[in-house]
Amino acid sequence: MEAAGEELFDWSHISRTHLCEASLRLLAALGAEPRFPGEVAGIEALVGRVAEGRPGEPMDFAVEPASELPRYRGEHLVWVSPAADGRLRLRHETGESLASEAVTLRPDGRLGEFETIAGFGVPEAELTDQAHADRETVERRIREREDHEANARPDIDEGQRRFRTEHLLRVVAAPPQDPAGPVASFVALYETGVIVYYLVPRPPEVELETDDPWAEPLEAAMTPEIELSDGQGTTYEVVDLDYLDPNAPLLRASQSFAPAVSPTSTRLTIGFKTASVEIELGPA
Amino acid sequence: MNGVPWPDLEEQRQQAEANLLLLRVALALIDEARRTGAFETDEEKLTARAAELADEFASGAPKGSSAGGEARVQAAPLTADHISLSAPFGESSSVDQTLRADGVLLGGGVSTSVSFESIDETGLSPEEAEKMRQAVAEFEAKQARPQLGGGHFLRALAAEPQPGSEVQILAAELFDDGMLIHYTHDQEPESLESIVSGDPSQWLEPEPMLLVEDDLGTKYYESGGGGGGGVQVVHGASGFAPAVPSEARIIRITTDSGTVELRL
Repeated sequence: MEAAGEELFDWSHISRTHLCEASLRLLAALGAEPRFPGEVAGIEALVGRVAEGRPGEPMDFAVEPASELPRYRGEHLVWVSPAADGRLRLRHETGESLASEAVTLRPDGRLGEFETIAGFGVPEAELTDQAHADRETVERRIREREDHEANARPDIDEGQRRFRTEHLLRVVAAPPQDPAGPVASFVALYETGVIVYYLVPRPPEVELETDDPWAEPLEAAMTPEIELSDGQGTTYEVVDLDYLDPNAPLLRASQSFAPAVSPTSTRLTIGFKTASVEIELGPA
Repeated sequence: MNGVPWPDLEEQRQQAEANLLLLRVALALIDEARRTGAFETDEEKLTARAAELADEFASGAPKGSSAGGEARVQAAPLTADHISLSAPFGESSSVDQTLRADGVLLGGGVSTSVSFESIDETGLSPEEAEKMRQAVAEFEAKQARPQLGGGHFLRALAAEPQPGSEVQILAAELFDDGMLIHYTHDQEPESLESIVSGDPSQWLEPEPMLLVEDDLGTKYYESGGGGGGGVQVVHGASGFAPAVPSEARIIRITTDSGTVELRL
């Protein structure tokens, strides 16, 4: 898979983009200082001032001394080290192998040439104890990742096949509800789960405008919290979300749940925060 | 579904270069902002500065502008601490970013502009002119048809199970100006390699052809909706207008798999 992945994606370009974005934040964090710090402690303090990006965004920094062999942790880290003349050296560890891209950032915002580093950049005989330990760490992480992917595969397959047509049992329409809030439209009962189709009044435009660049008010409106109750104490978990039309005056979406509704259940209550509706399931 | 151009390797390379050039310009502008305390707010000056920096960083290429006559990187002030940046590439595409003064990129993307040219009918053959007139008439007729707005939901009608059918109708959602027919069908997953190397216009599973009728003979036109996604199964909906008349008692939905009747 790794060989195919290398052909499919330009990892060096991804790393270079990552280095540029990391450089932007480090430079902005430098403030009015004329030079980047020349020692590890100063760079650690600089990294501590870097602005946070999108929640969950992988932009993690680590600091390494200059003139030592590159460190590897098997993660997508940006390693920062001091360089001559008040510059910084940034190195992006691909996380997928012992390889990285590096560049030098000047305090005037200019970048040097990108450099591709394979392994530690020195012959095997010159590897330090730390380099051997890092190599073992990366190789162990790669093995763990491969094991995890192999173990996760059946779960992924099961999730993707959960709502295939062979598992569809029947569809039940919901009774009329107050259109002021979310309205359950119908439920599709499967041997393997249940899908709730619903409509939500589109929030006023003023509520969709926000100063928070990471906020997604429309998506939040389309995914109200839904609690299912079948009177038998089953705990249902959301396994999928689907938006059908984010532009309509009534937002249309669905949420899929597992496990399946028991054949002995005669009714299903769909609870939104503001209202709930009971659907008579009738005979299985 | 054909006709959506997918960037070939050369275009992908151009996009990558444009992106890196934009980021180099962004770095220089961040440097200037940190020294002066803010981004340049004069649009003309900011635009000129971005173009100048892009020329400085675009090594080897002729100075001044990209092939399309535009600056290699365009910048515009948005707010006191936000600017937008755009780097054109290819024939009509650009990489776009919004940059905040703390060095965070607030998301961006790639856009492609489309331009329309008026056709000089005098240069067309009689067959071409006739084809064009038919296309225009078809477009105008389509625009004049009833449309599903979907603003007022009435109720849903559940379909009976259709075991063995390739396309299975789930339900009809009735609105005061039309209806949505929900359906599902299986699909076989494609390999990652074929997805990445293939034509993205083929990624979207074509929607199944649905014919909707009622017992009054109402003519229903397709209007809105949209296919759903999924790796091994598709859940989608197709819209139809006008509204189902209150006197109608049966809706019939026909697909290649058969006909389903919904009782009103």
